Amino acid sequence: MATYDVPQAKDLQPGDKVIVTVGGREFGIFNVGGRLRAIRNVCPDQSGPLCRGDVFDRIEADVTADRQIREFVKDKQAVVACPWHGWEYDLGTGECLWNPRYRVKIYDVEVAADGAVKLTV
Amino acid sequence: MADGNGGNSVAGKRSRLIVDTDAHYYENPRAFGRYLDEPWRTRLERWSGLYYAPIAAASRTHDVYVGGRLKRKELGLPVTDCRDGVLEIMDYLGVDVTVLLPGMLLGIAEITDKRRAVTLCQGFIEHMLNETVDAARGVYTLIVAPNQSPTEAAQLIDRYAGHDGVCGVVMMTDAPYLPFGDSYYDPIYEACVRNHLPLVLHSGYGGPEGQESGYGLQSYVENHIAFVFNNMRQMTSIIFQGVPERFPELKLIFQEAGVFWIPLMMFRLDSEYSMRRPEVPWLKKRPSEYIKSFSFGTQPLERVTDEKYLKYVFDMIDAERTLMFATDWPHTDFDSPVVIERMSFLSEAGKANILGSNACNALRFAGKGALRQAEPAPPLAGSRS
Repeated sequence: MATYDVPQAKDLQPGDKVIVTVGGREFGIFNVGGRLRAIRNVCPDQSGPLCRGDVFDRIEADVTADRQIREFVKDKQAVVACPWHGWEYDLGTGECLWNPRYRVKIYDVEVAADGAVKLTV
Repeated sequence: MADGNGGNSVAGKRSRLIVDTDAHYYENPRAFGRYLDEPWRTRLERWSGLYYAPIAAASRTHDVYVGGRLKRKELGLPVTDCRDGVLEIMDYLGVDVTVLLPGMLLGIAEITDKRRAVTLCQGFIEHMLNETVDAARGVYTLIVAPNQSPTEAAQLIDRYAGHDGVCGVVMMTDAPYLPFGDSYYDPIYEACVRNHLPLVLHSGYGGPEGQESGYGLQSYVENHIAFVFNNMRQMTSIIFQGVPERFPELKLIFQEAGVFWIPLMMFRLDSEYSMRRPEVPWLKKRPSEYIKSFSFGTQPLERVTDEKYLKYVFDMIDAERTLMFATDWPHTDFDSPVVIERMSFLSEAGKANILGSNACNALRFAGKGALRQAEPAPPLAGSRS
């Protein structure tokens, strides 16, 4: 493991992201509701540029007592969708929404006392 | 590409020839006018809206890009509406040879207006041959045969078959009229044979409102299965109506239904045949044997939970001989060559066949990708010739 300074992520606002290259690999750093999270810029599907996709609400649905479908937003701005094929990943767990067999690793991003942003991969 | 795609580009793998047997061009029918006689020249050039366009794959009625989740232009990728754009995408995907099918004219089979269908097909091939194809750089196209008028389709094939940018003929399988086993289409099959061109049967798609086999299925995600239904319907007709027996020289290539439907059809049709052979005594082989004489595009390759399921299918369909890689770029379910490259059960020779060699055998490439001329056999030592 190695820790890198990623000053590009210092002023990320909730919902924003930045793609950085550290150790020869690209990572996307996302501000998810005020917390910074990083994932590799590689979709497990066909190796598409996952982090160039946008962040979306996590949409779910349930069946009501009278057997009707009710859609709702489970989490605001919680998933990233790969721009190649739309595979969605939960930015909190790394889980792929259509099939949890697929997941992306969530990497630690820490903000030091002096405000420096550190990515450990 | 300069801005990269996250270090994920497959373009780095150039150890073997990669042929994309199904990519799409974004033609603008207004640009066809210059190649056409009046009154069509003016009709197309002054086209005021939707009337001259086919239904074109639900792009008007459904959210193809899933609320902004899918991106193409935003990745800095060009639209494949000109030769330079095509070449740039070939580089992005890492393919050496591409076969361009139309974009808008994918819906051509569902046009009811015969004259418009024939005219659009003529305009398309003129536009492609004059402005887009480049055989030396591996950019080819297909003659779109208007299924609405087989006689005129045959005339188009005869007229344009000799161009080195043409590598085959294509019809879309969502045709709402007679299925393709009917002798109505004989002029098209005769023209393909006469000109030594393969016939691609590419699944078409009218979208949820299209007049085809997916009609009534509501959302895009469910209606899209029509790509499989359409090819199933046409394959059934072609086999049981005896097209491979009547035109044994005709090379048939099915595109854009993935691969799992192929074994289903082999064994389903064999079972039907086993019980009703007297209805179709002109069949001289089991349906599955005809099916394995066809070629198939790989896209959209199914996502499976265990790679062994793909291996089973590949075994059943003799994939190293029958499959040809296809991207279907720029459509939302496109495949990258990585889907073949990463298969652990395929030999290197098998990958080379599926990614390139099979296409070079099935399609007529006159420039890049052309089969080498057969070397004359050296005289046998001591022969008295």
